[in-house]
Formats: sequence, C-alpha cells, structure tokens
Amino acid sequence: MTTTIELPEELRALIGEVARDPRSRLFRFTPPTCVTAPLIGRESLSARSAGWTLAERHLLATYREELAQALARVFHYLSLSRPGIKDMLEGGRNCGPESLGRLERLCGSSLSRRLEPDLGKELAALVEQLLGEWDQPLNRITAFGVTLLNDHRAANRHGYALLLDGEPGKAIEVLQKVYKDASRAHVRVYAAMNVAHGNSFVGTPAEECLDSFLLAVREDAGLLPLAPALVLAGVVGRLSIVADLGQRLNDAALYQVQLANEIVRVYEAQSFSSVEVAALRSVQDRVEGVAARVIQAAMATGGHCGSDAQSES
Amino acid sequence: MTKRCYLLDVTQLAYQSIEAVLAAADDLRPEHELDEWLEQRIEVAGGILIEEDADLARRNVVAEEPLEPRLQFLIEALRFSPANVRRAVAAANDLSNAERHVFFHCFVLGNGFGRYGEQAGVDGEHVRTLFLQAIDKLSDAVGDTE
Repeated sequence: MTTTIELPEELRALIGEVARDPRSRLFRFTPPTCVTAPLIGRESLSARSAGWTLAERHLLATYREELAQALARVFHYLSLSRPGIKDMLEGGRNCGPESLGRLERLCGSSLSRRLEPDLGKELAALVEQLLGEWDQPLNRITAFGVTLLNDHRAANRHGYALLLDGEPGKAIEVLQKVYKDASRAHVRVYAAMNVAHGNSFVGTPAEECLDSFLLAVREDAGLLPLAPALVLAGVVGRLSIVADLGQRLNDAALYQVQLANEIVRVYEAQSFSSVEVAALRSVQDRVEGVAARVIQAAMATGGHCGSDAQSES
Repeated sequence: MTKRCYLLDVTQLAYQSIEAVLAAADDLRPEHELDEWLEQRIEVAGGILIEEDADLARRNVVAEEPLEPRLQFLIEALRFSPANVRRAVAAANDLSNAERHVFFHCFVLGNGFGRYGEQAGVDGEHVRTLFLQAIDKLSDAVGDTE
C-alpha cells in the first residue's frame, strides 16, 4: 500500500535552491509536489494502562516460561509471512548450513538459545529433510514453522507436520504414541491437542474431537499449570489467522482457538476460582496486547517523534 | 527509535521488534514496566536495522523492486537512484542528532521549518541551516545522483 504526501512549498523551494547550487552534488531538478509517503502506520498508539495487575504479576512469575513460549510461537507464526524466510523457503531445495544460519538469524537467537544442543541438531536435520522432500511451498513453510514450535519433543512436531502435510492418519498414529509414552504432562497435552486436530481432519465431528481431547487432558493431573499456555495458544491461533498463512493452517488455528476457549470454559466450571479465571483471561488479553502493541508501536515508530525529540534539537 | 528519528523500514522494524521481544522474553519479570521494557526492545531492534542498513550501503547493494516506501520517497524527492539510495539512508541515520531531527521532522514528516523551530524552541533560520547540512551530507554520501 503506497500513499502520497505533498512536500511543503518552502521545502521544495529549498531543495530546488540546493539543486541549482553548482557546488551541490544533487541532480539539477525541480522537486515534485507529491511524493510517496516514506512511512506507514502513522496512527497514534492508543493510550493504555501501564504496568501489571497483581494477578498478572503472580501469573507471570509462575508461568514465565509458558509466556515466553507463547511469545515464541507468536513470532514463529508471524515469521512465516516474513519475505526473507518465505523467499528462501520457496526458493528451492538447497538448504545447507548457510541457509539454516540465515534462517536462524532471521528468526532471532532466542529460540536457538533455548534449544538443547541435541535438539538444535535434530531441528537442523529435520528442517533440511522437510525442505528437501516437500514440494508445496506452503508445506515447506509450514514444516519450518512446525519444527520450530518449541515444545521440546521432536515426535510431537513430526506428528503435527504430518498432519499439516495432509497425512492425518499417520499423524494420529504418531501423536497417539507420543501421548501414550510421554512422561511430561505438557508433551501429552500438546499431543492430545494435535490428535484432536488430526481427528478433525479425517472428518470426525468437531464436538467429538473436542470431547475426546478434554477427556484426555482432564485425566492428566499435570494439566493445571499448563492452563495459561493453552489459553495463550488461542491467542497464537488468532494471530496466525491474522498473518494469513493459508486456509489449511488457518483451519488448524481456528480449531486451536476453539480448544483454548473450551479449556477456559472447563476451568471456569471446574478448576479455577473466578478470580483465577479472570486473571487468566487478563493474561491472555495482555499477551495479545503485547504482540499487537509491538507491531503497532514499531509501525508508529517511523512516523512519530516523541516529545523529547524537540528538546534534543 | 520513536524519539530518535531514524529512517527505518517500519515493517522490518515490526518484525525485528518481535524478535527482540522474544530474545528477551525469558528475562521479562513482573516488576518490569511493560511500556518501558517494550520501548527498550524496539530500540534494540532499531539499532540492528540501522547496522543492517549501513552494511547494505557499504556493500553497495542496489535497492530492488518493489522499493520500500522510505527508499521510494528519497528517490522521488531528491532524485537519488536505486543504485545509491541505500547510501542516502545510511547517511540519514548517521546525521548528527540535531540534523537528524530536523531532517526527519521537516523532510520526512513534512513539517515546515518554522513550525518545527517553534516546537523545538529553535530559530527557524537555524533549522534551515541544519536541513541544508543534512542534505549536503546525504548528497556527499551518495555521490553523483542519476
């Protein structure tokens, strides 16, 4: 989207004057009246209340890792629409160490810093394999995103990748095994969530998928601490919709939103006090707000100079 | 960056800011003031992009179509070419603080010299001088235009 702006007359006159000066290296020209607006996103940021509420402070202190992971997921989804990554992934099968290094740089160091060394190698190998084997650009992009989902379980990622590659049967098989074998609660929950996705892909009614998922996670004693992360998954889902990653991924994202909302409903009914549920919702809103504000603020940055700019001159 | 008037690609800045947020997400603590924390992350992101712009300029990387709005703007308004406009961007971000603010406010944002002078409490003629210095530096960095 490009818009034009009018150059102020005094500015045009001055530039013209400079251009006519024999000592100037500017080309001799008459400055145009209208030019492409150099910046977009000039809208002012809406006012917001600063700081965290007490409930949020508590949740942030308790679930900091989940919050970091949720933010990481936000980035991964958003990064898929980033031209550099997209171009490279669509550019062909050649994805050697140099390309991976570039990918890593584009994605920031945060993820690789958090990955265990072995997982990093595994990730590199998997990305290379997926990029080499899959023909559709969207699949390759998705594969990359999926492999970066930081749930620390390759099989889970692999199952989800299969799911998005249109092999829900295989995916369900892999993910059910993950669910059965995994010792860590959050790995089981993600596996169960992805099994539910898989079931929805093979035509199982959504309500049935949801019920089986909820049945699985209700039995999992370790679920409780994961609630914020799962709720936040809904935020990520919405953001991935915004990022317009394609219908198939959007379907999955929509389903994730539905699941997250359902989890909140379950907690409202059974596990959390109303204060805790309100706090969860507050964190959900806040994370969504953070992501939106980062984008908004960065967009507005180019167009706004703060009041201290005046004092600096 | 909001306060420092650098000429950045805002889309890249958005993405880089998200990266910076994530890079520091592990360090986010309840006692942090969120606005301040976010602003610091955006500053980090802006710093990285300024470095990247400078690197592209040093390596004489030609701007490709579709041109970013900021590059298109400089090409249209000052007749730089795609081949050298990156050097102009790098030079703009390398201006002195006062020159950069004048350049950004008066040229990029299109405010008048007098208006900016009033806002900033600076004599209009001085603003004009600073603007000319800025244009000279950009022209020198770019070399021959067209």
